[in-house]
Amino acid sequence: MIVSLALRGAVKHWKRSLVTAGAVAISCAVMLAIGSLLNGVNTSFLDSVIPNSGHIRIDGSGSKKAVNPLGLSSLVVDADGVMERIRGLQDPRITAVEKLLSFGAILVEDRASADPHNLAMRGIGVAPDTRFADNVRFGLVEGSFLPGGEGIAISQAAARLIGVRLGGSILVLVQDRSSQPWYESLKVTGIFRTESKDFDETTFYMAEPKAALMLDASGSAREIRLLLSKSGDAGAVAKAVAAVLPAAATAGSADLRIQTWQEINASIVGLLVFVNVMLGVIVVLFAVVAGTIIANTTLMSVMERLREFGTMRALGLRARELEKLILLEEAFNSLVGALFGMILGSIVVALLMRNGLDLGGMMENLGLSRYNRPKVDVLWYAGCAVTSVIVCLIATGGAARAVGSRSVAESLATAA
Amino acid sequence: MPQHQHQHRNILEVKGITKEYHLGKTVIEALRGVDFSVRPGDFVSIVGPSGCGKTTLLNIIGCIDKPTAGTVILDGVDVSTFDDDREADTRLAHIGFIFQSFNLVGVLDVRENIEFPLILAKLPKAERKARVDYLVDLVGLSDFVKHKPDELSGGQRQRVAIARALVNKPSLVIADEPTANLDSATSLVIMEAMRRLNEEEKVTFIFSTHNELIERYATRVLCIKDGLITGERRAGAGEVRP
Repeated sequence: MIVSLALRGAVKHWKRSLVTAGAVAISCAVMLAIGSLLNGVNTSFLDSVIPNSGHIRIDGSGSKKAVNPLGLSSLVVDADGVMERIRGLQDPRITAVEKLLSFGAILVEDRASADPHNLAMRGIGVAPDTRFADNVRFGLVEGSFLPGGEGIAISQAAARLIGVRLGGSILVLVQDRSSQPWYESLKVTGIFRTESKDFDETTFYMAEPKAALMLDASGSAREIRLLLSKSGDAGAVAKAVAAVLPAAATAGSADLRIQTWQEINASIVGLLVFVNVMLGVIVVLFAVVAGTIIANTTLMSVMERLREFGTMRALGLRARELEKLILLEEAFNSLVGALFGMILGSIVVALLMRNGLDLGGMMENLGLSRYNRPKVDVLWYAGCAVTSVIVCLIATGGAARAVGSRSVAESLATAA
Repeated sequence: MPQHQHQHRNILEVKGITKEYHLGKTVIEALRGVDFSVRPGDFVSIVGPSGCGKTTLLNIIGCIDKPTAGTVILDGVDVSTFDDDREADTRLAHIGFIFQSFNLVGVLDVRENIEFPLILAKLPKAERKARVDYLVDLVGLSDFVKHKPDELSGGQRQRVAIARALVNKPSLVIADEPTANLDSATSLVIMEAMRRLNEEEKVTFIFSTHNELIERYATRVLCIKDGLITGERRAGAGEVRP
């Protein structure tokens, strides 16, 4: 009967119920959308930045101070030896060890022309079957990624600027370790497009052995990257790797620097923490606003129904039971609100997933996609619904106590 | 509790009841020392002008308000010192209420309104059904059990309230101006129903009124003025019964 009474009370006072359910629905939807966006930002970071940077990076310590970050003076000269040492650890947490050779180059249109198009770019030499460069490998719009270690992969934007198509040739001009100019005509075997315009206009990929040959840097690398099975293991694995590096250093790499993904992406991690905190604050603010609306609505509603509640108490209903009845009524409202909030939130999330939320060029500068797409988490859905209901019940508690603590005579004396 | 178990003692004893209300620095004495007792089967009317303390007195007797001083002994137990929960239990088990404005629960139908106190008392469903069926029949509302209060006339609503007041077999039924919101003809019907229950079911009633026609139904009339009982008239001298 009490449950039925609460349900009927919620239906009879449907306008008030609608306000409560609406406040719950909006707060639930906001929590859901913001939470999914946060999850999207964090996942995007883990999914795109880490595979590009690796969980652990080993490079020459001189590269940090180098005037030209693409200069060849700060390479890890015995990269193969270092990699051997790391593989020798046989650590199951390490899933991939690769070397990369980045360098500066000028790409020139390879055809007879009085004024051929050219573009200063950063070349990255990687293994053709690399586990990194996800944004490029999965962003191919034409051709394939360095098939058989041949050719060059450039972006659509760069191809347009240079005036070349898939299968066409490009002259790659570099300066080798002895500062001698070198050029090679390479066939465009892959054209990609990532979500970062800045990246697309400045970066191309080619096979690492060919790049090393052009630069006269065989066996060397700009950096060695490690992929791990779990991001959280980065610190421990870095220590294990550091323990074997001194032996490697005697083979020629005297000053190596080991960085975890948190250290490599310190500025992004800091920004993400800030974004997480700010969005968390927004969620809390929405919950507080919703709670205030619910508290006021409920208080008004129960004050209008004082005589009804007074009658129930006169008939023998205890104050605590009356408070439970009021809470139960609001629980119904909040459950309905949470349900609609999840539907509303899902629609918002679906729209954001389709179009993405433009977070601006700042994200691109940090190596992240400027278009954030939310990521849905079932636990977060449940958490939003439960939190909304709890906020509603907490907000209702005050009104319920106000009615429960009022004397029966006073309640009955209230005008209907 | 069945009425016949209380044949040889007072159901209610009110001793030295005072009630003060504080409005800022002003103290209003609603009751200034009220004493009286009620025996089983009495049909007591409390009469007096508006503001004389009738409702305050009924509220205190009915455990929905506390006296400033004095004691209320109901079924041999001093209820004036009870806490909220014991007061609620006492109201549930011993007292039935009939209100001037009927005070039915709007979202419940006739049957559910009458059944409400039985659910609070946690009676089994079969017993509840039998008791409600009996009372619905008694007050002549068998054809209206599924009606909501706003689908009933004033007289019908008050008959629902009477059935609800009796459903837990209370020792005492308190009715605060039960006919004040009814027309004269309906008022007489309601009073006839209450008197019939008093005579046939031995239900003890205390009701307040300032209507002389209604007060004449009582077996005892307590006159109250300015918070004091100023006199009592009894039936039998051909004076109070119609």
